This record gives sequence, C-alpha cells and structure tokens, in this order.
Amino acid sequence: MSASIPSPEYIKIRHAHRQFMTPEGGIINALDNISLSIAQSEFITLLGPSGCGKTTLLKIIAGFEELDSGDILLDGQSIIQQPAHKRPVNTVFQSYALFPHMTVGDNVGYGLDIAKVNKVERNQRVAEALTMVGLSGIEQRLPSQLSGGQQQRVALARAIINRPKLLLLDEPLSALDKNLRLQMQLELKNLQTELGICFIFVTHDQEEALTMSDQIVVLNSGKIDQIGTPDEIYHTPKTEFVARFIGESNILSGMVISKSENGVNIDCNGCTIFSHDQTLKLGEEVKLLLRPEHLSLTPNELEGPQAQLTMTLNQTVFVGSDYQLHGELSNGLPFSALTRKTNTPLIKGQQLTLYYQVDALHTIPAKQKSIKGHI
Amino acid sequence: MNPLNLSRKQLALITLLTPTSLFLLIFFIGPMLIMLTYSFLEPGLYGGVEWHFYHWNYGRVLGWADGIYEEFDPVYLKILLRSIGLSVATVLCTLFICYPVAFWVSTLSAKNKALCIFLMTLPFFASMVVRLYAWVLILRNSGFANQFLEATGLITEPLNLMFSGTAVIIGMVYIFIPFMFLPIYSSVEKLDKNLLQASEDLGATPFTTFRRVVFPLTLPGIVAGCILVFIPSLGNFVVPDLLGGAKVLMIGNMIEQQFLYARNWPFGATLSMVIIFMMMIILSIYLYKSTKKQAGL
Repeated sequence: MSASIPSPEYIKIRHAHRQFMTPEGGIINALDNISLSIAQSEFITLLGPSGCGKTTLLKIIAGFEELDSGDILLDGQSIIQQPAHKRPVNTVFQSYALFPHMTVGDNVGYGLDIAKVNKVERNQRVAEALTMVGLSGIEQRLPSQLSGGQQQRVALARAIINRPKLLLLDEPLSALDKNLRLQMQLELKNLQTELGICFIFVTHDQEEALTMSDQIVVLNSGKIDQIGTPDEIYHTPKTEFVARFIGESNILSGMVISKSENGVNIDCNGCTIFSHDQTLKLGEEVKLLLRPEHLSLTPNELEGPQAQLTMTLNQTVFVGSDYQLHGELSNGLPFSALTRKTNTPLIKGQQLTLYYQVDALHTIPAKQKSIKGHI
Repeated sequence: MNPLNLSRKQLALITLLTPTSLFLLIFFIGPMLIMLTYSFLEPGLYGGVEWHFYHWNYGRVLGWADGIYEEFDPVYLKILLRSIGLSVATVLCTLFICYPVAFWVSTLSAKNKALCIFLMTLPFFASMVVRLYAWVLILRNSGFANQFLEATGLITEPLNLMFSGTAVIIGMVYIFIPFMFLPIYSSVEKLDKNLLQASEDLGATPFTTFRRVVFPLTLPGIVAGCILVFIPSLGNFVVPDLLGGAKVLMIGNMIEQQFLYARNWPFGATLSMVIIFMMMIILSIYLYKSTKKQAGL
C-alpha cells in the first residue's frame, strides 16, 4: 500500500448520462447527468429503489455498459475507453457468478491465472484470500458443494485477489438470510478497512446502507437526491424521497403560519407543529419529517425543548424491543410512533399525547431540485 | 397382500416397466442376437445360410475373404474408413454451423426463440427422400447452384457437384443439423451469461473467456450433438444413394446391398455388427468420461 494521502477525488464521475428505450418506445434516463467524486479507500453505497439507475452505474464503471455521454476517471485517468477486462476494477455479482466447472481454488485463482502469476505465488495468494474471507482449506471443493453464504465469500475472495483499485458489489447480500446478512455486513466493512481499497456497494436495502457505508449516494430515477454520511442521510434528508426511503418516517406537509423569536408554527391541515428552524419564511410551504423513535408517550425535557401532538391509536405492533403505535392525527393523517414497553394501557381508539423533540424535527423545503453531488 | 409380498412401489414399477421391457427384449435385443448369430454363419450359395460356425465374414471386412483363395483386398475397410471420414466431416460442418447460431438464438426474445426451434424442426414434417431430391435439383449440372454461379460469372463450365463426397456431406449436414443444434442450444441456453461478465471482469480477454468458461460449460452439448450426428451419419445409406451415386458408397449402402441384392445375409449382418461395436466403444468412452466427471474428478 502506498503511503500517499488518500485523494479526495480518486474516482470522478462526470456528467454521466445513459438512456434506455422502453419496449413501448419511450425513453428512460437510467442515469441523468450524474456527477460524483469518491475518495480513495471509502465505502460508498449507491442506494435506491429498483430502476433508479444504481446497477446501471455499477455496470458502466465495471465496463459492461457504456455511457451515452460523460466520463469516468479512476486515479486521474479516463477508463471509459478501456474494455472491461483491462480495467483495474473487480466485481462481486449479485448471483455470485462462480464458475460451476471449476473448484473453489480455481475460481479464486482465475484472475491470477489470467495474469500468468507463477504457480507458487498463485496458490499462496489463493489461500490468503480464502483465509481473509474465513474459508481456508476448501480449495478443492466445487461451488455446488457450498452453502449460499460460502459461495458469497468465495465470490468476494475471487474479486479481491487481483488487488483491484476499486471493488464493485452488486447487491451481494440480497440472497442471504437475515442473520448471515448482518454478519456479512460487518465482515465486509472490516474487509474494506483492512484492504484499504474503495468499495462501491449497490443496494436497495437502506439498513444495509446505513450499517456499512462511509458515504451514501441516494439515487432516484437516474438522479442523485443526496450524498452524505449515513447520519446525515438519516437525520437531515434533503428531499422527501430520501426521508421516505430511509427508515420509518412521518412526513407532514404544511405552511408556516406564524413566526416568533423562539421558532415557527407550521400548520399541517389543522394540526400545528412547532419548529426551531428560523430559516423558514412566513407563508412558506414545507415538509416535516418526524421519525417514530423521536416521539414518546412521556415528556422528557432533559434532552431539549419538547412539543406535543395528539394521535388516535389504531393499532399496536410488537416488534421485539419496542411497540409500534399506528394511528391518526387530529386531521386524519396517518402517523406512527415507536415506544418502549409502557405502563400506560394501549387501547384501540384511545387518544394518545405524543411528545417530540423539537430539535429532532427536520424540515424539508417543499420544492427542491436534485443536486449535483460532491463528496 | 399379494402372493409375492411386494410393496406398492415395487408393484407399480413392475406394472409400468414390464410392457416396455418385453417390447425391447423381443423387438430390439432379439433382432440384435439374430444378427450376431448370422454374422458367424457361412453364407449359402443361393442366399440363405449354412448352419455352422464361420468367422471369415469378419475376415472379409478386414480384407481376407476366406483366408485361402482370395488375396488381401481391403475394399470394405476402405469403404468403412470413407464412411467414417464423411461422417466426421458432417459432424464438424454441423458443429461449426450450429454452435454460433445457438448463441445467436439464445440472445433472442422468448417468442423468437420458439420460432427458431420450430423452424429448426420444420423439415422433419417432410420425408427425407423428398427433401434430398430437392438437393438433387439444386446440385445437378443444370441445377440451381450451377445456374446461379454461371449467372454471377464465377464459373463458365458447370461444376460436377453431384455424385461426389461433397454432395454427400452437403446432404448429410442438411439432414442432421437439427440433431446437432438442439443439444448445443440447450447447453448454451443454460449457460449463465453472468459468468462471461465475471470472467471478463477478472481480466480475461473474450478468447480466454471462451476457452476457459464458455467452451467447457457447453462441452456436454457439443459432445451429445456430435454423437447424435455421427451415429446416424455412419449408418446412413439414403443420402449416399441419392447424392453420392455409385462413386461414393458408404457402409450403409454396402449393408443394404448385401441384404437386398447380394442376398448375403451373414456378411450384411457382419458389417452391421462392426458398426455397432464401433458405436458401443465410442459411447462407452463417453459414458465413462462423463460419469467420472460427475463423480467430481
């Protein structure tokens, strides 16, 4: 590993544009003028619903798809003219894509065989890579003799053995069961730290993105909605789409009806919400985000000023550590809250007073444009 | 309970398998045994057989008719070798035609795939003899092929396409293409296209990807196709009869002649047994190799 300072613009995607024809003859912008810079040795997640362009972007970086216009620079050099097999980029495929006719050892050593690495070094590096993913000593087995989780690890070992400048991961955990997925998330993050290479991870699973990433890029219909750390994305989403896509959320639309030194009052269809956001102007339309976990049944002024809301309880769902409370606000809009076990009896139809941290309330301008990103 | 104390499963198996087994025993194994017996009998002077053991039928195939009177003349061996040569050529031609086409078809939409498979099997609806007569019209001196070539000015004198090894190969390739295409197509269709991307991603050039991933994974289809084309090619007598004439005899024609015209059943049976033994050897090697592979070696 070189000792140079990680470049903040190790990978630069400039005005990437890609269109597809739909079977009906329409045109879809899979990537709509995307610009993005990624620092060396960062764990980046491209997050978005299916059809948002995240896999297209990954395939373009890998070299399996082409850009209509734009450029991609890796370490200062444009790679879009290079065929996939010449790019210093490796991919972990969603379906693993292990070669069924080769042993695990031959699968992992495939890249080294292609590069004509000598036998001794090759075998040693295969063993190392397999040890790194926790599967030492299974070189002689065939992929069909492995479990899904093991196949996943072999695919990972095969992709890192060439020491790529960039590792692309295309929803690699989606086929695993939940416990294994959680474990692999942590292992992937550790592996990335250990290797110090940049990982670009594609997923539609927001929890996965929050757990592993240094930075999350939220894509929506081929555009970048927000780039930020998991914390920023979760707590200060820039668009309603991001707020809805990440985590559980209550989103209310309203208008600023009064302003004082203390804060502003926002009317949401007859339900007044108090906010500290002083940038809001009188009469401005806003969206309000209140995460269910920021609501509680009991006042707790220690963490800051609180305000209250009334909700009619419709349903209580036990989710293990907490209760989800689903109900309606006085204006009839659906609302939910998350609470610990409580002594208050929770009866359907009951009027609950919910307290929320005013500082936890996040306001999103009602009209916003997609940003051109820069990490 | 039934008298033999069999389980329901055993009874079901016996009921279902008995008719087929009997059918095969009587109509498949039986004739084979008759042929094997005849191949070791001496042909009678006016057709028919002399009922005693006689091994010179096999000697005749190798070139010694009875070991005493006739000189060594490997005419049947030559015909056998020519048959093998023509069949191998047929296999190679069908393979080189079908392999790329199978890849192309596998990239089509489901509807077009079905259409292609249908077109591929369409010739089966017409008699093979009729279709081969169509080839006679194409290949003869005043046929379409020569007319076309003369019209384009490529040749001035008509080519003698008919009654040659080339004509036989063209005819057999035409007849046997579906037998090569279908097994290859099914293995190509099964090939996970992600594997090609994975190989490329790991630095392999398209040629290396073909050599190390595509070819090994479609090999079962190739081998199956080759066997399915080679076996009926070797025994074929209709194509050489119509397109090869008297000049390009194949072993199938020899067998036909021995049975129908020379009335030498023992020698006809011997020639048939030689082909059958050859096929069995080839198939045994294939089975041995493929079972070994399945065992994970």
